Amino acid sequence: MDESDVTPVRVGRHVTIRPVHAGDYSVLYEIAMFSDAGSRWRLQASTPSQDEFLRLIFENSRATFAIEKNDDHRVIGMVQLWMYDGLSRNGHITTFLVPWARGRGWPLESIILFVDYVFKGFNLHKLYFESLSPEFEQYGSIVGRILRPEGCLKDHKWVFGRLVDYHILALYAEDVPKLTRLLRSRPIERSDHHEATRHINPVVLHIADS
Amino acid sequence: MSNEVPRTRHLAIRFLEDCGVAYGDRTFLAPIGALVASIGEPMFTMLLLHIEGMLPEPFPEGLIDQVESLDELLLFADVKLSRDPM
Repeated sequence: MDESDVTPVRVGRHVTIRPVHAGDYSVLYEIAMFSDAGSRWRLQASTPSQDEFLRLIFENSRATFAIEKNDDHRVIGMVQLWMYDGLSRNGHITTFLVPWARGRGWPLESIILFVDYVFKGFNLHKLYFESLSPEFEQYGSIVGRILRPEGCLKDHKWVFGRLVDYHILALYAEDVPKLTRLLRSRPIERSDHHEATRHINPVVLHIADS
Repeated sequence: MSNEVPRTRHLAIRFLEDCGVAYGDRTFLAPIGALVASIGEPMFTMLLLHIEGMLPEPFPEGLIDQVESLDELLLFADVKLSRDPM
């Protein structure tokens, strides 16, 4: 077995994930408390002390990782396996990112690195992603193709003035390779070129022209 | 000059097919924003990571803001690949 298969330090092209250490505590607290990151995560409107925040982070978590940007080694967020159930082999993923890193694309690599780690490390059957209605729309076509919808609790969460739906999505072990192959993409062979072009249709995807 | 379709386009096509995302020529020519709105940001990001994975280095930061379409992005990747193959 290669060392990289068991080490909790996972290096991608854009980001590295690694276990949280004491030096990260204040950075993660800052990100969670002094932006909307904490409220989008599990804090909602709460403003715990740093000690309470740390207890909240580590309680019921089997793996809590800092997300570090490779070029300047800044910690930009956290990702964790939460509520792990060893008997049923499932758990929840929770994460937060510093606001400027959201919607940039590349931080998704940290989720893929983490997914690879926890499915191998904990022999997961499935991993739950939870999302509130406003964010759920952003999952787009990944829902149903990689993340399977497992449930929706209507008007379940109070979020700053209104009740919103709470969606439960699951990533199954058999769908993990669709994600983890992104970590090792390589050029396709010539023989694949012909096969790939065979299916090109003139217009299939409906994109708004406006 | 070769008439072959650039290989990054094939990579993108194969990825979209594997993920069950319908595509067509307009997928490659549409403004990036419309494409993202259509397939969702996570899927678009995965597509980028997939293509980027074959390049010697990641896409430059801000590149997405500078290209008009997926075709332009793939052109950049193909030029990069031809100059500096892995």
